[in-house]
Amino acid sequence: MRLEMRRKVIALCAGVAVVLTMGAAATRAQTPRTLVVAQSADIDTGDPAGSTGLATVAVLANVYDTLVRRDAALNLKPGLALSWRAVDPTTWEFKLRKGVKFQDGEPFNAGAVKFSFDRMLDPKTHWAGAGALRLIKAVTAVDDDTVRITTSQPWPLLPRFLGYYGMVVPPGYLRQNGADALVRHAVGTGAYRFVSWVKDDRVELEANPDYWGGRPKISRVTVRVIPTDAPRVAELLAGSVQLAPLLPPELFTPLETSPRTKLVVGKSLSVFFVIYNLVNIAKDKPLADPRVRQALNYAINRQAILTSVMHNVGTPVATFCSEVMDACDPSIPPFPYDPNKARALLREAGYPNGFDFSISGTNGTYPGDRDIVLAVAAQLNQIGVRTKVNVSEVGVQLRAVMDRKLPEDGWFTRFTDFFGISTIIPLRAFYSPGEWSQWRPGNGPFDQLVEEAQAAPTEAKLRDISRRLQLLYKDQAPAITLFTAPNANGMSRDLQWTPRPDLELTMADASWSR
Amino acid sequence: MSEYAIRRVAFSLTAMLGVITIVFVLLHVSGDPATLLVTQDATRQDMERIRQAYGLDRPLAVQYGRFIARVARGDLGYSYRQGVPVTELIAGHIGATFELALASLAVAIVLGVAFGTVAAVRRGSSIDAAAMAVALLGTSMPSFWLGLLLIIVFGVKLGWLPVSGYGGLDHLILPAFVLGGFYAAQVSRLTRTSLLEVLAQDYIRTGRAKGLRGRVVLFKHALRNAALPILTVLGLSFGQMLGGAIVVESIFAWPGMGRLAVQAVLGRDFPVVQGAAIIGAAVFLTVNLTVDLVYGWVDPRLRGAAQGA
Repeated sequence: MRLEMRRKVIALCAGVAVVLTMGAAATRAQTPRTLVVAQSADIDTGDPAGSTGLATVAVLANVYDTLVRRDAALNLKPGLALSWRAVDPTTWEFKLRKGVKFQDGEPFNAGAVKFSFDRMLDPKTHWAGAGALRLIKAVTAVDDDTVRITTSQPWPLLPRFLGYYGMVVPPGYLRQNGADALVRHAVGTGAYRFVSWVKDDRVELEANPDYWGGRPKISRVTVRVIPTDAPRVAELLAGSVQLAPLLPPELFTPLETSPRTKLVVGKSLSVFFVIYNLVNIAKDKPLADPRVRQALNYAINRQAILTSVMHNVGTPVATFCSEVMDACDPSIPPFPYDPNKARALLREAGYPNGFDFSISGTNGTYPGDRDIVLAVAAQLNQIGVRTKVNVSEVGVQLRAVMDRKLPEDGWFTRFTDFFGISTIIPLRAFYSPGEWSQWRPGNGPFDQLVEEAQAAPTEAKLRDISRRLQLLYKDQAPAITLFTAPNANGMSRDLQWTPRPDLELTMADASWSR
Repeated sequence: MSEYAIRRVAFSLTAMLGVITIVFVLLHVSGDPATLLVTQDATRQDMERIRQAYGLDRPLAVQYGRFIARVARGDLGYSYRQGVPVTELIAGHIGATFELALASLAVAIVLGVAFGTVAAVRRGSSIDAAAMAVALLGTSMPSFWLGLLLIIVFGVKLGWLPVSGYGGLDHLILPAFVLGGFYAAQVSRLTRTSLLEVLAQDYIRTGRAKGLRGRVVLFKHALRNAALPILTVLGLSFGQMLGGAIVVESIFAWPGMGRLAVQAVLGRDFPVVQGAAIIGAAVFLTVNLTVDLVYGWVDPRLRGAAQGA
């Protein structure tokens, strides 16, 4: 009896060992021909009108196409539309690509474009991107291959917006299966077909053999969800993941030293700020004086923070403009590090002994966030501005910001402009009626310029407005402007792929080097 | 007994109502889902639309009333973020949590009882000291640290086991060891204490005196009697594990309830948080109730006491 028991135990152990070995072998046998990408968050939905979240858009950009495509340097290229032109100041005409099919076989045409836009912009859809496209008045299908978009005012920037928003969905699939079907299973015209999705675990994609842009070189892509950054890097080092985007600076070193991996830094559309809380600020408060606001900018040694905290990834910026945004004047220099000038400005403004200052920060929301804000505080203390940092959960912080009830004097945050147009961040963050603006009542001429930028009839005019906006921003200094946020990607050495400034993880032009 | 059961169920339901009310209030005062559901490009109108769509523009009392009415009908609502029923999300995550909890429970029982027994039998020896030192280490090591350490050794350096993710048995080993190891440490200390107490009893000496073999005394008489407090702790631990192990699930990219809940909290996905809290509370209360009943089954004296009461 006891012998039999013992035999059973031995058999069980042997069985477990066999299963484990087979499992391990299976993991090894999964050659890197399937590209495994590890994001820190899962997609929210397969329906592009269901979310504007980065983790979702980044993956769905493989499955769906937009009318206009942007290359990795954000140049506009033909997408589902072969060409476009302004018929009159408020009408854009798009000539569509012929012979394109959705992945379920349904033909793509002007009707699908109209259907997709009408659906996205319908208030009942609650699409969070609708506000960005609010100037669109109507979308009409002229014939099968021609679409006209009329706008409520001249909008020369429309094609640029359509390089990010406006993924086209198959009307037949939706009508037949209902909107819920698209939520669970994405169907578009893009380079990759949606194969399966296990929530919070993985999305499997497969190359679309009929893709109008040619079959992608990498035939299978798995997007895994690994919420913690350290295991994402461990997966890269172990060779089981080949791309991990948006890594924080503290994890750069192992990627640079391992023979298996590399760190690839892309251009950035994100800028870090400490935005001053100027909501109904009393005239006798230090921050009401632009000289004080400038002084704090002179007190910051941006390069030192980049070196010590950000692993030298990032560029100091003068204003809300990053290196790849459109219509930016690169000749406007960032504030130099000049503590003497900072002290002099404080004296001039009547604060020779400094003042008390507080910053609301976050921990783990943006790469390096907590360390950056602590470094900023330490540097401000050097010029006598006694700075206190309160780290809070981002949901709590954003609610206070949104309600204009932030208890601190400064809001550390990162603004990203996915459209790559220099006048977007001023509109959201500094235009006094803007959603996130803490500058109220703001600066009249600044607000007026922001409004003019939205209605700029030509690109040349826009560039001119943008330049004036940047100069005024620097003079009024509604924030401590820091540097660009890192677009740092851990990659397997044999993966060839250029990180995109808009952070989309489109793999159509990725390839293996061996 | 049935009156006792009814009282227990009523108590459980009240406790659940308390849990969901607290969760509801804390969530609604701590953040605005609309600000987190959109990117910075969204306009105020976009956010207003979202608030209206989810009824967040209504007074809190109205929202609470509607919420309770829905829950009473068994409807946990739709996720704000993902647009699918909460029940579907929970169903998709609870299996992985169950799997991990069961494996961790097995680790806790096997390692905990083995270490504790050896330590008790060899009391005062170097084995005892070593076992208790390991146990101390097990309780005091944070799971994120132990998890990363094991990932580096077994996943990256040796390449024996997958670093993270959900899949075959090999994916289960590291997370189960980290999660179960923590509880194994507690169980081993408890086993040792409890066993030492029993081993000092008269009936053990009687057993030995009448010539029973040491193994029979230990396993048949001593361990069975020492099992009662261990069972209670294991029950509670299992309940906690089923609630979702947030840290372990996050490190090992395990798609379980803990991650579902924590992501929902961070994103202020109210229906999902509330759903997870309801399910978590229900599971915990059920496990506790089961432990109470099993207790009576293991210890006939308690059964008698319950009948007498």
